[in-house]
Amino acid sequence: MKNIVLLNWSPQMKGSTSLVLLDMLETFFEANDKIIHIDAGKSILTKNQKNDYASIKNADILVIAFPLYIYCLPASLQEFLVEYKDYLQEETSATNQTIYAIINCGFPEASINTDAALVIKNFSEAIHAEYRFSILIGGGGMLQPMHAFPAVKRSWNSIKEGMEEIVSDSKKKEEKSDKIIDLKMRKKIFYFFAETNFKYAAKKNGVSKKGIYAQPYKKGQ
Amino acid sequence: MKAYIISDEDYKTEEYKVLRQKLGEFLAERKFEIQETSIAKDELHFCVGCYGCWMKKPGECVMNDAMTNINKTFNQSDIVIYLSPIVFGQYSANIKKAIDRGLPNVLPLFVPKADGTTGHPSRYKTKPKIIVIGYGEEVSKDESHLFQQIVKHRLDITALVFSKDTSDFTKELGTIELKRIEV
Repeated sequence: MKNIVLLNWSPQMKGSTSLVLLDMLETFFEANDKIIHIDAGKSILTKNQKNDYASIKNADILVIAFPLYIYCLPASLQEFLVEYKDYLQEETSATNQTIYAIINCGFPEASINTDAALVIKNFSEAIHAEYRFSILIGGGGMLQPMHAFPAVKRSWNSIKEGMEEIVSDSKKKEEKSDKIIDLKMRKKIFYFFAETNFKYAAKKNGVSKKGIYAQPYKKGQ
Repeated sequence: MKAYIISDEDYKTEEYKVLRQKLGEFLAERKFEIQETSIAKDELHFCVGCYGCWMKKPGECVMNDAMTNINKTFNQSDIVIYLSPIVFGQYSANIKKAIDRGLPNVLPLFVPKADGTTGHPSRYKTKPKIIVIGYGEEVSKDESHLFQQIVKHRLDITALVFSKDTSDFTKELGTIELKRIEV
């Protein structure tokens, strides 16, 4: 039996891609593994970080799932990890765990996530944990709403393979590198769907087509 | 000409003090009018990814805190300089909060960038020149490289990294064109 913490760090409270991915990953672990989910929003809103740090510290395996924000970790996750490192320094015992990450970005090119994976690697080294590898996913925002679209289906199949790799690696470690899962959709089609989605949502909020291009802080105004 | 300096209130280290002093002298010599914001923990809420800045109130963050003024000052400036501690190879959390919540400054459109990846175009026809100065007591080569990689994903941004040796600081700043960028 292993203690596993699945840390969902999407700042969105509901329906986040990261949460869906971790829920899926959970199904691949053994039935007798002890799995604890930690949720970003709950941890912050209930100021429960200290209890969450204790759970993380006791985990054999930590999987961190998050969306890419401006090419790296969301600020809140960075803050959480720094404070966790400080918490460990206050504690006397050292950590001895294995860390994986599942990172998704809004753009189709999954390799954009590579730098964020290196930040997780640096964090792992700083707390003397063993970073193994990350699953890097492109077009994260499309995974749920367009799950039946062929290109998205292919991404889901690769994601499942990546999750199986995490579980098998947690049992027997072999040489591994990050698993990069681009959204294999023509960019023009991706841009069309993504933009249409935002424009439709803006219209529903009463924002006109022209209003989307508003420049409230234009220099000189 | 207006310069806007954004720094981290919680990392006022010796390296920071040296860099801030040199930066102040550099900008004063060039007659820049300086505005400054130093961000402390809990001063800014973190971005919650609601996209309200694109779909509800385009160009403005829907959370009303100090970020409203930061985004306004950012867009009214000719140059913006972030003085960021390097933590695990990326920005500190306080600086990253301000960067994440700069999302209103781009449009919800998708365009190919010169490097072949996708990006969002600027909301404005001109934008301030951004310089990100990373610092730390001990910054390894790998961390320095990673930090610059992360910063440079955003086009037209200059990334500089300094640790104890700041002798080249003024020289390196002097090579940068300090004016707004036409998009």
